[in-house]
Amino acid sequence: MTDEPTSTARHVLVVDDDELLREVAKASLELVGGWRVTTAVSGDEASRFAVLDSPDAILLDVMMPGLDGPSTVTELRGNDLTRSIPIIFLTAKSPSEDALDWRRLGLAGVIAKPFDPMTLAAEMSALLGW
Amino acid sequence: MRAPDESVDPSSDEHTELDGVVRSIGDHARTVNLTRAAGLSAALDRAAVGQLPDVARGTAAELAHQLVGSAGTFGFSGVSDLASELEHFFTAGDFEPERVAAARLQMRDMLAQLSADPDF
Repeated sequence: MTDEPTSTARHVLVVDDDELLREVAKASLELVGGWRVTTAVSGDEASRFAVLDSPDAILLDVMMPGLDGPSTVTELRGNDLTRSIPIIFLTAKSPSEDALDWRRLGLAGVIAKPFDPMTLAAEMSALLGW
Repeated sequence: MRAPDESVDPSSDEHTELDGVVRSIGDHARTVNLTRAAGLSAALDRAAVGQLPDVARGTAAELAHQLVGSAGTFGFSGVSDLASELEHFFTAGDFEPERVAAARLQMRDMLAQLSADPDF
């Protein structure tokens, strides 16, 4: 049985406008990663939550209504409180489509959708060096 | 992060529990994805008769994109592949009869796969 996340567990903010993908990513990172996970439904909400809750990393959908992934990164990078938070894109877009622009964002990495809930934590861990 | 040997053990308690969660959420996701597929099918019908305005075409491309990300995560990898083809179809907006016919076949395959069991 998985240990309950403790106050010292890593904290990941999962951002996706698809409720069911948020749920499964949260369950995956909590159960397999043992991390504390909070969620946001949009880039705007993520920017606010990141300031309030200082996550250790952000798993960020790219195509969302309102602030999309790249715009959200730009906003986070423009705030002293959030500029150094590692960010991983979670996207169904082919990275090659936007590789040049994404490289400029200083991402910790990109994980493709669809993702495997069983290995999501391991993929993030490898990208973040956790 | 748990120890590496635990993280790749599909029989661990954590993975067994997660598998149950994924299947449970996946039941709901299939319903949502069937609704998305129905929306795509309707858009395809309109495209076939030249009555799909750009706004609706964009919405159809978004629906297909959502299917790409969701279906494969919940055990319908073939649906994700087909949805990706349909996303390109609607994004390109080239509704020549032979392309529409090919899209209809992809649509039919997608609906059939979503009605079958997931592949995990």
